[in-house]
Amino acid sequence: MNQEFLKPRLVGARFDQHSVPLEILKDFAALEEMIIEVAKWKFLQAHQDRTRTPRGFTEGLELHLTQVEEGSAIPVIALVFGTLFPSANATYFDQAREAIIEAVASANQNQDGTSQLPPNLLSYFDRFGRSLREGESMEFTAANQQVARLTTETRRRLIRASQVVEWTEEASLLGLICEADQARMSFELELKDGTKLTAPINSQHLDTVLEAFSGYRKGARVQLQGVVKKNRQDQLKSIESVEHVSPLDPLDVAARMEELAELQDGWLDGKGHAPEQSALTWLARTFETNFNPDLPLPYLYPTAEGGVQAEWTIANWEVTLDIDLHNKTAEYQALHLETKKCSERTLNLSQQTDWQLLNADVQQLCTEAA
Amino acid sequence: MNEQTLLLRQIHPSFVQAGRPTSQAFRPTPKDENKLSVYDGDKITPEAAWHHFTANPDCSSAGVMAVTKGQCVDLSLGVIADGEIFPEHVSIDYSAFAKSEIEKKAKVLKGYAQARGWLYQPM
Repeated sequence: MNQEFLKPRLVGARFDQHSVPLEILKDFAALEEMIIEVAKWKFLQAHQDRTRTPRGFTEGLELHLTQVEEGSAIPVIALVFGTLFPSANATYFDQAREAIIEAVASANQNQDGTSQLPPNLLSYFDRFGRSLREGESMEFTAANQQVARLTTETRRRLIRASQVVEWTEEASLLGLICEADQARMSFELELKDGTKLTAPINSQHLDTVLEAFSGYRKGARVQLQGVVKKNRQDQLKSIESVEHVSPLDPLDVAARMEELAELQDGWLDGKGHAPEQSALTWLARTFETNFNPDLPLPYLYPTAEGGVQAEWTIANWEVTLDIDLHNKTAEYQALHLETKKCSERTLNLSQQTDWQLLNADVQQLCTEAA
Repeated sequence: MNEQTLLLRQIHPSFVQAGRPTSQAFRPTPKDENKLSVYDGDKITPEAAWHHFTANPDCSSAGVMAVTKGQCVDLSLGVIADGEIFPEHVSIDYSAFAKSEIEKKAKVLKGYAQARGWLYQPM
């Protein structure tokens, strides 16, 4: 038998298709562990004469995902029990759920959640909520209809209150592999700021890691997705686990945008405006969406005016796309270095049709050069 | 200076990606009054020019490339040994041209410099 236990509402672009990414299920597995431990704590609070919960306290009680409802996505979690009626201990599961929701609600109010849960139990937020990305949330409705929102920010607040020395987060990192130790099966990822993070090598990633290590001096970068450890100052300390590691194209647009985002005003020998980070993010996204992936990637450089210039060398053609990030327009110029033949046009990069013009122009030069 | 004199240009680190310089390195920025600063290669070596340039803490250089005076003159660009800022200073004058023409000439000069290769890069 089972009874509905919890219906968190997942909010964010990833959940708009009324489906739940599999990686979020890890968070719910951590939530189940947390609910059991909080239920035990609630039991001991109610039975102060006892020092431990009875043997088999959680026996026959499990949490199952039974369906996903629309809006944006609402996983339905049921309490499953092997008997006709839930055991008396199920009431502590209900109390645990309410205490967790109240802790999240208090974090929404800039409180630390320790009035609802002790610090050692708050430490479960290290794993529960870890898959959330910026701008996403999990909404929980308490029995009194109060809505609590777990976001990356409230999760951080709760973890800080847990007094853990380090916590973990999912992260995507770009860097060079400066060291690889096959005996220890570990490697070091060197970030752009020089920080070196130790990570374990999974056997399925061994070839990629060794190849990137041998390309270190040539600047062979990788993109790593995994779980990182941070200290209480929010500084990266190490990489706990690696889900994906893949070599980056030397001209990867998003990676280059991240580099350009680090420029400060005055970057060009005391002159030069820094490009705005949000505009660079827009450019990376719009490029990925609209630029034909079969065409060669451009070289990308900052401009003194705070824009970006894309450049291609295609046989004897030198092509530039001078991008005004503020107006989202660009000046295209292709010059044949021998014949001095030149074509120019102004493009509106907010318009898909103008991206098609750019794709067609670059395609034509590639075809001509082939 | 003669037609073969190398005009040494410092290339900013952000103006290099995967070893390739941008054509922007060979055109003046809007604040440069249409004059591109270079060093007279007859008076200073590429390495010495790099050390001279980067001695200013505001200035960065990934290395030194060059075009010849003759290549500039062929593009109708004036080459002025003004020695204004320091004795080896030379200006390549783009002031007679509109933005589109400046970009074309920068592309051509970048092509010449790239064909010549890096004359100095710090280790």
